[in-house]
Amino acid sequence: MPRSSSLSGADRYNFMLALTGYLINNRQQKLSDLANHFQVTEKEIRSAVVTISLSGVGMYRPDELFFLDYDLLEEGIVDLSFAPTLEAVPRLSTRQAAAISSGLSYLMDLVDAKDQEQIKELLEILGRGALSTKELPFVVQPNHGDSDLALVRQAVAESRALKCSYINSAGEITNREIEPQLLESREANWFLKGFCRSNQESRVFRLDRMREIVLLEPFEERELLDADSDLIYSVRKSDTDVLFEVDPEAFALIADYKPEFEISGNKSVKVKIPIGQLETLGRIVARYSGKVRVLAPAEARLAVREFAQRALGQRKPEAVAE
Amino acid sequence: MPEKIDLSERLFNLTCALLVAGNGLSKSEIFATVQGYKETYEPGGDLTAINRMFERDKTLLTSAGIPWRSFIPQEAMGDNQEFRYLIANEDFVWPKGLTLTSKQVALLNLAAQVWAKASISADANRAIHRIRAMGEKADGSSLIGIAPRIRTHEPCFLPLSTAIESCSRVSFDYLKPGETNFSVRNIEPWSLQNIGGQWLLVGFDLDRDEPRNFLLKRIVSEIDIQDVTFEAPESGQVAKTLAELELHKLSQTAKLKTSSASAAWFHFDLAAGQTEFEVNFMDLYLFAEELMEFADEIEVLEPKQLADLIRANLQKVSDVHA
Repeated sequence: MPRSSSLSGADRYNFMLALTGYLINNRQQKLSDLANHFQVTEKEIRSAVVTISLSGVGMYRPDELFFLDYDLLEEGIVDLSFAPTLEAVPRLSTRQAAAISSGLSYLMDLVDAKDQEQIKELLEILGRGALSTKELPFVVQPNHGDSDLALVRQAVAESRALKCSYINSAGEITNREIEPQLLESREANWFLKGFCRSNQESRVFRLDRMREIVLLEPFEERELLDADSDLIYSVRKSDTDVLFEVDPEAFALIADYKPEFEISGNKSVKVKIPIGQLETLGRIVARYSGKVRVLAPAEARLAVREFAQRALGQRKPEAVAE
Repeated sequence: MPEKIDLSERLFNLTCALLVAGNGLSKSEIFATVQGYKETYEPGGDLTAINRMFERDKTLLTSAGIPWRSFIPQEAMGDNQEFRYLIANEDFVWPKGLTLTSKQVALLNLAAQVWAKASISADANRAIHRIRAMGEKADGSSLIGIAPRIRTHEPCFLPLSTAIESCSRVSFDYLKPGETNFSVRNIEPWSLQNIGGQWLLVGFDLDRDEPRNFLLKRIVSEIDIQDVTFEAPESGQVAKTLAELELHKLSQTAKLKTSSASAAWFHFDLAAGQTEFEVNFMDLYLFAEELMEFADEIEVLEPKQLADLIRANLQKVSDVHA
């Protein structure tokens, strides 16, 4: 389904360049197919081709540079012909190439050997196609060699259930059977959303809390998930609204737990986030060493303080009961 | 009255005009013939506004990866020196004859989605429009269920990337951990690097006269992009700086102890029965933060600074929640 989007300014300019390049090699295209291919609305395609056809410059008058068949357009068919100008799709800008290249190298860890070869080839192509021969402005260094990640990815790709030993945030270790649905990353951490057969419900698992992963048989799909939605953190009715005060250095917390929250500027912000189990709050907040403060409710503040006190008092680790 | 032409149309017209003009166009020719300019152009009138518009458009073309050139024709040398502008076709297009497979398109799509929650998502989307324009449809059947995400919640990410692309000097306030006052840094920015989930700026520190790394989350001011440019680093310079950082990491080792079957034991992937282990770290303060969520089950045997730091952090967390 074409997404609803509203192109303007630099985005629309970029899109018209791309669309022109595409239509050179693809005459007589259905509006609906074009909308699907580029993931924009039919209205935007129509508006863009009309604009393109009206471009006239220098010795070419409007209609001479590009010729649009308006009769066909009425029937939902786009047919654009060209004076010899735009011969192809423009290469990527430095920043576009950097975004795609570093995205690709981040994927390296995640795909199978065959796809890794493809990625290497693509990086080489992008290196040639990018505007500058200088260093890319930004790069993501891959974290090599996480065999668990490769195994879980395989389970997701092949719709196979997996079995593992899992330690939850309360320190309880259980054996789980999971039907994996979505593997998502947060910076260096990986999360698996899946149907937990032991609990008979969908849960989110942190990969670094899994051990002894074994792949099982393929499973029947339970429901289709929208891969776009932010599924890792979902709100439940029983959650407690916790009011945080967050310093700029700790904005990652907001990005993780309330991605829709708009952050602007360089000042501390207050934000309310629903939290499932207050006893896990200490671990979450401690990570930011005072740059995240829980303001309310009182029992949430207490939970954080107790975690810190426990850790301060108990510097010698004790065996955790299973 | 001609209808007002919006930015995307003006840029598109300008691009086509510069592509079809074999000998290039002078500014006055552009103003007189290109839609978006000619409506407001009055030869002999006040050109301040239209000149400013042209300067802005040139910058926009550059950032969109459309490489315009300017030159003074040989025969005009000496007398009436007026720049002519053009876009050379060989600069404009992707490598000729390049075709992508449907699997490659799927990988490129996924690479763009890595930035879905980041400040450069618009650039990634524009890249995808150009890639789709090459025609091939995506076949991502083996990539379903993966949602890798990198975030750029540091507000300085985009300005730094812009400065790197244009080789412009920057200055900013940097707050080193453990210090209460920031220091002003004057840097030739080379590259942004994401290592283990942290964004790092690699650049040349003009005051310290050597390459240095800066954590983006410790930059506490806006980025001041100066009007001074510098020579882009030689190829390999960034890699050399990163290799030194890796050596530095290998030289710093922490000895830790935890109990079997704790969350830390899962996280560090220890062997059955193993409780003492060593970890290399890049930055003492970052590593202390990483360990904070395990603070109640980890004992730091070495170095003492790490143990002290975690204790101080815990005290801070406890104090602000008293």
